[in-house]
Amino acid sequence: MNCLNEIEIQKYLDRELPEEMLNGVEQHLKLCSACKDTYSQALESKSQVFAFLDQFAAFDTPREIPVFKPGLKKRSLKKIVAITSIAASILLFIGFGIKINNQKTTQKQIDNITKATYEVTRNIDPNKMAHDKQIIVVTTNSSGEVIETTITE
Amino acid sequence: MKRYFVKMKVEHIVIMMLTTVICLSIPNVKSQSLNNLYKKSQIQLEESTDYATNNDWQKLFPDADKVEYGKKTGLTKEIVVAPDGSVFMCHKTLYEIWKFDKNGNFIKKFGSKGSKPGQFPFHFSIFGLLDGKYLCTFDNQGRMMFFDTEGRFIKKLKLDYMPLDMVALKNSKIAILGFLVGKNGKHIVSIKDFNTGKEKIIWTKSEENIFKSAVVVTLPNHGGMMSWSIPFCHSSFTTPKLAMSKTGNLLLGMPDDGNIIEYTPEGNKVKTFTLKIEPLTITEAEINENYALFVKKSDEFAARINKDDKFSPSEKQESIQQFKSQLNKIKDRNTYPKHLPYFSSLIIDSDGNILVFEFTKGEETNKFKAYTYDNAGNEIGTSSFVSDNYELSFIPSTFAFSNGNIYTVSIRKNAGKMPLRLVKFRLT
Repeated sequence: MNCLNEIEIQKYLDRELPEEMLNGVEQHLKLCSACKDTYSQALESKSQVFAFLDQFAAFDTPREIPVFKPGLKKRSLKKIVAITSIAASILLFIGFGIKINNQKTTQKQIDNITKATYEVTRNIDPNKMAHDKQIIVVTTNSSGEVIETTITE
Repeated sequence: MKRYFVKMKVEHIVIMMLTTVICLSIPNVKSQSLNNLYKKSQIQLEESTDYATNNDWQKLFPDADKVEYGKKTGLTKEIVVAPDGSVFMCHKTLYEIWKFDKNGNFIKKFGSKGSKPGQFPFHFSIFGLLDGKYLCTFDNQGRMMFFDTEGRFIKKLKLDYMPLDMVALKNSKIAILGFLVGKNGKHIVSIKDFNTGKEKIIWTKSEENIFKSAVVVTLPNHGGMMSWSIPFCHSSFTTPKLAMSKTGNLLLGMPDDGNIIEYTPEGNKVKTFTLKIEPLTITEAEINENYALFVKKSDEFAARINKDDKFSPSEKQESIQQFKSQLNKIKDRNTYPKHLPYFSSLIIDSDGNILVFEFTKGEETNKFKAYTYDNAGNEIGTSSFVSDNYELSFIPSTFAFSNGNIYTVSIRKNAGKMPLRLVKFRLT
């Protein structure tokens, strides 16, 4: 099975994939670290969204109806809507910020590994690399910076 | 008296004509000589014993033992040979360029570490003498710096992508092989004008990301990443090889299909021809060897991560499982290219002939088989380059033809404490 795109992963998360695809996707996620990574990020984002929505679940619970006071209800509703909007915006920003930051870190890690590998191979004879079956090992830290590069024989 | 002058003039004219004929015939003789050599099955590289005799090698290569990436990187020295025979050597680890005279003796050094104009903030490479007068350098952050042959800083240009290789062409143009990182990573070849800084992209190729050609493990919670490149698979094997033709044009060698494409310095395609080479295949036995190698690497990784206190037992287990789950792709033939590249290196000799070096299998690592073509793409011969006294490495940046000779910094066999030598080889 080919790697999954973000839409397919989102559909898998939302249980919107056709049943005949589910088994294949599950198997692929077990084997492919790239897709597993994307899936984990999507899952994390989804959890954040649900956590965000859970805060509003309280509004669905029965509440005592306050005594009607002309003008007060209107103001309260406006206030609630305003506070809710601001809170929603902040949480969405945080949620997207985390997702974007995670994506950036992963892409930065991939980019830096790729760059480090090219840097190392620049002055190595490709014939020698193939002949000796040399392996380039690159390690990045959590910020994506390369902390170790080695060539094994 | 008048007759005497007339007689002198006639003698002078005859001498001048003879001199002209001899001078004109010298390159032709050399060219025929190189062409004839390439028809031999074995070419011996013979050291010129009167070259570089006044150097103290111990002082010249203080970084020879320097280890980076687990390798002695101080042993690899890029060189550029000027038309007058002087040699510029990149002392990468010292952030300096060293100049040697036409007899191979050290004259001076220039450059230093730093961020001021003319200083190198990072390790850098040298790649040519633009228009015969500006020594060209670049680093992997895209800084290009130019010096005159006396080491005076001339100019800096900046690229917004990672340069992998460069070659100086005629008309103040520079060909650049670059890599654009990101989700849609791609290789490009562009031509940059030294005077205006303007750039024209003449070739692009999208590249699959590292997950195709490597085993990649993300370290949970800690967030780091580790990657092991799979032998034969890294895209650096098939990136185009750049060289300048005798006429100052760009030659783009394509290791994945054996094509050589010639462009003018302005980026217009002149011609394409295909090398008559049969690329080597990757055998099942080699794939199985790779698999065994990665099983070993997997065990080494497990041992290493199990010793690491940063991870919880479940995190260790997850990371080890990530590695093991990718072992299947090492065994999968679809992970590998259909064949090895058509050639490993592309070098242009001082007569403009094209030498491409094949991938070798077997025990002989110091014997290099080269296919030689003239600049029209006609096959000249196939021969092995060998040296009794030196360990050879045919990397274009460390190896230069000039006036029929080969210049390089090589490791002399059984040379004791300091084996590195700037050496001039005659081909016999």
